[in-house]
Amino acid sequence: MGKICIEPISRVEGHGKVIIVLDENGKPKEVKLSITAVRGFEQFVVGRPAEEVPRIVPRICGICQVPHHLASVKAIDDAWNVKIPKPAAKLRELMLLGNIIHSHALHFYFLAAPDFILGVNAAPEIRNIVGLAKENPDLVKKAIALRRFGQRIVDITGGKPIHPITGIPGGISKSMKEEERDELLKEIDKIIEYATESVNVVKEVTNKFMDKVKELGVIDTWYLGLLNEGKHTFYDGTLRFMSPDGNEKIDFAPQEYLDYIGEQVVPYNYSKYPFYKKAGFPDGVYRVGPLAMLNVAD
Amino acid sequence: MVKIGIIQLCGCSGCHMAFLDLHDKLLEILPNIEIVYAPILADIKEIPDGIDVFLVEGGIRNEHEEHLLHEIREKSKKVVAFGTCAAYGGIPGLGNLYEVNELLNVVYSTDSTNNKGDIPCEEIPKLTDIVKPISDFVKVDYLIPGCPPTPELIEKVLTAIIEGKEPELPKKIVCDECPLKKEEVFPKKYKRSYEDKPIEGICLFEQGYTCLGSGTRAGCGAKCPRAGMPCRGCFGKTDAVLDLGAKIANTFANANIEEALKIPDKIGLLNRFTLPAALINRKIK
Ligand code: SF4
Ligand code: SF4
Ligand code: SF4
Repeated sequence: MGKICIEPISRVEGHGKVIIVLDENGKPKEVKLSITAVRGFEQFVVGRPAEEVPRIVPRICGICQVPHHLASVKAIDDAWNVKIPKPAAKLRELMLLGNIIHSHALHFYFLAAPDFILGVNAAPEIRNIVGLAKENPDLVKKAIALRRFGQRIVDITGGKPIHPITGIPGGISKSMKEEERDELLKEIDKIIEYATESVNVVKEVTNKFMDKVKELGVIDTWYLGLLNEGKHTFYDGTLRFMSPDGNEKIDFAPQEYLDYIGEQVVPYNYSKYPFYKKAGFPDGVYRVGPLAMLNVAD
Repeated sequence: MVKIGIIQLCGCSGCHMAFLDLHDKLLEILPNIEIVYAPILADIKEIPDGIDVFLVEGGIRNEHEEHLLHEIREKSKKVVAFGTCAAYGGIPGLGNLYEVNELLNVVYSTDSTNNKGDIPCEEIPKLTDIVKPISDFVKVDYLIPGCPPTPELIEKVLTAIIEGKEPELPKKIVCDECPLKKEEVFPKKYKRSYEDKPIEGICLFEQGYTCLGSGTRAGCGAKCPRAGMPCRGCFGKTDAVLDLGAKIANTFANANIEEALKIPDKIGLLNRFTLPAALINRKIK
């Protein structure tokens, strides 16, 4: 039995490899994704003052540090039974949206787009953001502008564009100055325009690859997303699981997560596999992200 | 063209993001360099020979990272410890307060874990005993501190290296860049960050907040105090001292020894970002 190993998996955050196990006839028998690093946040936050955790866990990921910062501070608000002032909640939500703006621009333009625009057969030396900047500088300028705007929002609301610090149990340590608000407002129309254009670029390139998409395998999974009265939301709300066929919907409060979400350890992966507890593992494996968020909404 | 390599070892990719945060300036810098290896940005799978400058993000937490680091050193003219994890161990260095099996047992037996206590062991690199900065394994030519470093500092150091000049790091401390006023008073008691609302414009340390600015290398522009939060030392120590934690412990104790003894989690505070590079770099039984 042979195996093919793709390592490192690239243009993503983190460390991993893909192992394809082959049968006697050289046909793929099993495909394993192996995340090859662990740092142990679960252990080393234990015993530290709770309010320090939001200043530690952003380092789980340098791309999406804001959700880690905010999830931990929200958990402490909750554990200590405090309700935060409305402006603080709005600033925290804005921080999250800023991160999403950066993260989407990063994912699409800096990481994924080189495949779509330069073609999957272009050499890896060219098929990247540097190559894209040479091929289509105007597009990359817009990508940079989107990221800059998102990062600036996090800088203003979070105190730092990467690894924010202002989330504190009970609220936020920094208010937004009028000049800061005006600075963002001055740019917002242009940024919305760039974002709208980006959606069109995404549609265009996806359509170009529709044949390929249809050839890909299909995996049925559960879906998980956050909702506010049935509507899609990002910062705060209730969680909903939806079954693969869309018929079953289960709503629960984030505080009850242990009753609904389990994690399975597999031997070849430092990352655990989360699953919907009532469906068990592996049947209860679920998707998150845009598709899941839209699917679960009313 | 200068050939650049960049990799994430035991880091979070935040240093890579800080590099991208040069934003429009990227378009001026990128045409003058050739990125020959960068798993986060390009699909090149093998580290090529003849690299001029290699930016290493992250310290060493497992055997695979250690192996890659040696390969990088062999193939590169200059190796840069890019960010606090590479230079001092960073946040993952808090793992040095536990034995490896203790740490893994907790990770794989959380309340959410279905098959508690099963520890992954196939196809994945073994963890090293403790987290170490990259300078414990190979010669490091330059460092760019910060968690993450500021884009300005990255640009400054990288430009100097490319031009063949000796890059200069800030010599001062965060207090020197901090706009908050010191009134030369000692804190009456030490406070946790959620206790009380700081008086605006006044030094947080003098108000009793455990700010590490007086020992931490300048460079961030006192980002945290400006946002109402005490510094946690993410730029590491200055050239003038051996150990950031010891330096700050001294300051806190001199100001008010009885109150300083009451500060919770002193190790996790004083060595938040630098435990693997501290004089005592792990838990000793
Ligand atoms: S220094 Fe900070 S930003 Fe850089 S890799 Fe380490 S944790 Fe991430
Ligand atoms: S707030 Fe912190 S950084 Fe600012 S002057 Fe005081 S001790 Fe120094
Ligand atoms: S104030 Fe301290 S913790 Fe905050 S960014 Fe600067 S060096 Fe890092």
